[in-house]
Amino acid sequence: MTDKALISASPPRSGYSAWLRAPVPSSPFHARMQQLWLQWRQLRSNASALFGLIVIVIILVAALFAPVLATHDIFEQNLAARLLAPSGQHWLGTDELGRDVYSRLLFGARITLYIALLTTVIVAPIGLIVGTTAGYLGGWVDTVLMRIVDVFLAFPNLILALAFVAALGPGIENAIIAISLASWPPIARLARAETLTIRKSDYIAAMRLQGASSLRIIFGHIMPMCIPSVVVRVTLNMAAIILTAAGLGFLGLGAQPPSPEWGTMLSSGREFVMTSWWIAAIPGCAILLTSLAFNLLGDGLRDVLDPRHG
Amino acid sequence: MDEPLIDVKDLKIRFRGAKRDFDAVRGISFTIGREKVGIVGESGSGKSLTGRSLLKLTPKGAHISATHMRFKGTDLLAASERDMRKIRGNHISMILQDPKYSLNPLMRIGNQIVEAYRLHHKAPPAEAKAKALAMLEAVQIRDPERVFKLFPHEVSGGMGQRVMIAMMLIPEPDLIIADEPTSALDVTVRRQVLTILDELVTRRGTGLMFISHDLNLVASFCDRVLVMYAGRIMEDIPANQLHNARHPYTQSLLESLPRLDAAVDELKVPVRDPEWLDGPVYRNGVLA
Amino acid sequence: MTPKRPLIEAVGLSISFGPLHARNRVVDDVSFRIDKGEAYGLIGESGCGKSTILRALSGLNSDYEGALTLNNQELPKKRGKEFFRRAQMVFQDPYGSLHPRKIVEKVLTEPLAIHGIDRASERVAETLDAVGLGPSFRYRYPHELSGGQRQRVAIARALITEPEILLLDEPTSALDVSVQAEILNLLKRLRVERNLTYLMVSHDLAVIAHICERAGMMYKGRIIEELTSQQIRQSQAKEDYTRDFLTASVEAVARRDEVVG
Repeated sequence: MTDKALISASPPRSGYSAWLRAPVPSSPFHARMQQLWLQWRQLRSNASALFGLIVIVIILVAALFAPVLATHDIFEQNLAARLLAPSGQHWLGTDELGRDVYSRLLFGARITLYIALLTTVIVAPIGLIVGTTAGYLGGWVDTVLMRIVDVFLAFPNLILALAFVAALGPGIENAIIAISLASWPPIARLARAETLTIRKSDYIAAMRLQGASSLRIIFGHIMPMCIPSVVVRVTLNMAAIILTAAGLGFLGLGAQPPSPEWGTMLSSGREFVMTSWWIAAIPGCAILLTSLAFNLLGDGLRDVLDPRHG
Repeated sequence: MDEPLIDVKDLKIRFRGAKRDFDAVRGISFTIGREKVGIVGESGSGKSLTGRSLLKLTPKGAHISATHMRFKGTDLLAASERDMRKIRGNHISMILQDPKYSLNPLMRIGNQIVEAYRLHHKAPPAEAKAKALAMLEAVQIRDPERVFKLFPHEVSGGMGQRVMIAMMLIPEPDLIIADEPTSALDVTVRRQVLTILDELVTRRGTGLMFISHDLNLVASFCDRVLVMYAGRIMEDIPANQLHNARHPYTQSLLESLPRLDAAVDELKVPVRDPEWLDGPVYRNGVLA
Repeated sequence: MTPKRPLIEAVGLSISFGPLHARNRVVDDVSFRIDKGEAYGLIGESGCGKSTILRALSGLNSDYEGALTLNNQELPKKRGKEFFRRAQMVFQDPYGSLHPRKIVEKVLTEPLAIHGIDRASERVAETLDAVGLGPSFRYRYPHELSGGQRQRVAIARALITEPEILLLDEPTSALDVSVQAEILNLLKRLRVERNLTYLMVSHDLAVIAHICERAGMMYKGRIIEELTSQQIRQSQAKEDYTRDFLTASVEAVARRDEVVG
């Protein structure tokens, strides 16, 4: 009753807005859109999350339109113009080989986001499937899967990634595989913990009493409940992934030198920190800003998707 | 009856929302003397909030206003947090629904009762302990010495609630606010606990505000019943007159209960009339 | 004349929990029979084992001893799909028994999909109508509904596959009295309309007497006596415990003879 009062209290609008505010949804799609709209309104009212989202969108746009936005060729060396401070000609200065830092930064965003997104796409489903299966089935399945997770968790993230890269050889693709291997276990842990509480609930019992198979319950009923916390976790993880990728690049085990990966740029600028600070500081700031943005967005998403932590 | 313990006039409790305010309690007036007063209502009627407002234990964001709200002549509205701490426990104490959450799980039961006593009376430990044991006996705990040494998780729900009653009664308050004290208990245990509470309260002449959703229970236990709906007191009536209730809401509540003494095919379902929100209310069977 | 065969029968049902060295027998050698179309109640205090029996019968807990039969056939410990088609359960807490991220329609169509039943859309509309919810509730999420409305959805979910047995686990104890009346009326009406057999668990004597014709009084894992609703209403009990329970349910306080002042 209060819902209706609230809805009718807001001024009448037309088109999409009215459709989103309709008191009685007319189709499943309509209901889902209304739900999403409410969540979006909640996220919008959270200033820091909105800031994070805007920064991420800016970085995405920059990465997408890098060829248009760049002012110089990123591989072209110009030893006459090396180590130039930021100026009208080179907005963010040039590096030790005379390459334009601004242009390299834009293309570097592509590599960074490529690593972060690809890792997430690999990691989230693996973690979800392993965690929910172990949590719901229990017994020996749980024991086996969780011991495997424990083995992975026993090593620090970066060390594990280092070991894999050392075995597979340096390069972006191998870095992605290495980071993925190192970062799925925490997600599996999280999904399992969620599943353990969800499986005891009455709505899962009700589905079992309908004769639903384990597969249907895990994929259709438990996973949708785990997804919000996994999304939050993964968003927060992006920051760590970016840092690990940068770390690998810095150590020379990720993207290889001519490529403008932020960590690699930072590493090559290290020698010149005292004289030409911008070479190291600018990719450093980009790494900081991106991981901060993902962290803020993750926190905001947690408030919206997972009211328990609100 | 002499001066009432509690005298409340036009109490309003409002929650400030982001967009709109929500009035949880909308201008209620009542008095409580040295008697057992039951407050009945469904969830969301504002009954618990009313009880908590007397101790100023309402959640953050709740704004209390009233023409007056007095306890034995003391103005509760003007009382500072410091004054309220003196009143809480000492003069007005509260029994909550589930003893599991209101007893300190890390402290032995006896020590909690002793502490409750010594907070309000300056007494040597030995005397306080004797007093606590006597109190445990008063709530009909058979082996007080043994229970004294137990931890809260080691006792059953009914025993826990008796311990709570002992703890709340030991400072000898003038008024006890009991918020659903028995809804977590089984019927036979509930009967035991209520019988003890009834005896102690009657013997000491303590006032009791009994908040419950169970109309039958309140009717048989209390002297007077206040029926709340949507933040208002719809009816203020002596418990033994409840069958003569005038307000349609009270009547429909009574009829909606399945009864043991009379079999019916279909239960009456209260039809909520929006006019009740601001319509007439009844006191002792006449329009107020 | 052959005696009427019960639809459901429990013979020597025992259920224990806990590790082997400290087994705790929650249900102890319980037997009862329920005829087709009958409503049978299990009354008792918390921890007496009444809900445990319900969970064992429903198939949620297969760790029991003794036999449970349906139509004179012993039910396998691991229930098959046909069983779930015939018996459904309604839970106590309407806030926990609906999936928080599924709209009402999805909740109701899923059982149909599992059992491969046709005319899903019409059936959803019919069932919503039968439990007194209009089409406007079809695309709602559970958090947009009140407790009573949720319990109606839960009942609709149980009924949509047209079972003959409904297991009711304190279906109204989490609801307000006026809403309780609505749900009890609904359960009573549905039973007549659909010729259902009920097994209802409750601690509330009045609710049991209202819905059921017969009830078993449970105490410490045993059914100590069986009563008809008439006997409950007239307080005709043989056992002391039952008599205590009956009086405690009728009057809340035992008053000593008060001194007339």
